[in-house]
Amino acid sequence: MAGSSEKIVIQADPEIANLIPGYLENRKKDIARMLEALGKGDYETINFIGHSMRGSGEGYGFSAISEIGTALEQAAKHNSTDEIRRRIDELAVYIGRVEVVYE
Amino acid sequence: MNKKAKLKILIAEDDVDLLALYDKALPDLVFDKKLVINGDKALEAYKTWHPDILVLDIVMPVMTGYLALKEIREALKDGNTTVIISTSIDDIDEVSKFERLGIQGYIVKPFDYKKIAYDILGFFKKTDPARADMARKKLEKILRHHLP
Repeated sequence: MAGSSEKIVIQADPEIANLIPGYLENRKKDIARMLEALGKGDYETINFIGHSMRGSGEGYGFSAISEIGTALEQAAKHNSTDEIRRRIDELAVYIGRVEVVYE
Repeated sequence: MNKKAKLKILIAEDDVDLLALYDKALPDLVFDKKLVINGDKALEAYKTWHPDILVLDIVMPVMTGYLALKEIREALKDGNTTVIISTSIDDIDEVSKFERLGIQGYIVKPFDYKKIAYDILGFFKKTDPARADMARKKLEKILRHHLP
């Protein structure tokens, strides 16, 4: 089992190298938006963000982001606060650990 | 219609990261692109720009893909423009109501950006086989050029 500080190395296509930093930055913004929405009980916004992450993650080479997005969408549909918080934490850890190599 | 002309493609998608991926995946030498973030803007661009191909996301704010397609096919009576919808794998059941209005195909998200141009041309071929084949040849030439 990898330690929580270990890097997660993802191989991405060099052709989309210029898009990847912006993509990961937008996920950080999603984390902030979801935490704010969670504070207000705004599950619709979390559902929407989860849905978008599900649709985009794998296309950029981050299948984990699609999986977390799917889980967030489901949790938001069921107003499952604990699960949403857990998945937001999971996303934050993932974004912090991911290292992209282009080849 | 000049068969050598670039294909005009209008893409309506509310996720800016996916719009960026479409933009990257569809070469400028083959496609003349317009990217918009909701169905309302898609309809506006459709009326003034007259695209050959329209890609519509199902779930969008302001105006959904369904309402935009309904307007195009029923109110504006355009049965010719190639319309492709994009949907998530879990929303695949939604496709049938779009099919009743008339679409040439659908894209399932997340999509492989390396294949998406070929998929789109495959759907466009149902409307205009000659231009689709011409565009595909151009695309293959470009992609061969990019191989290491």
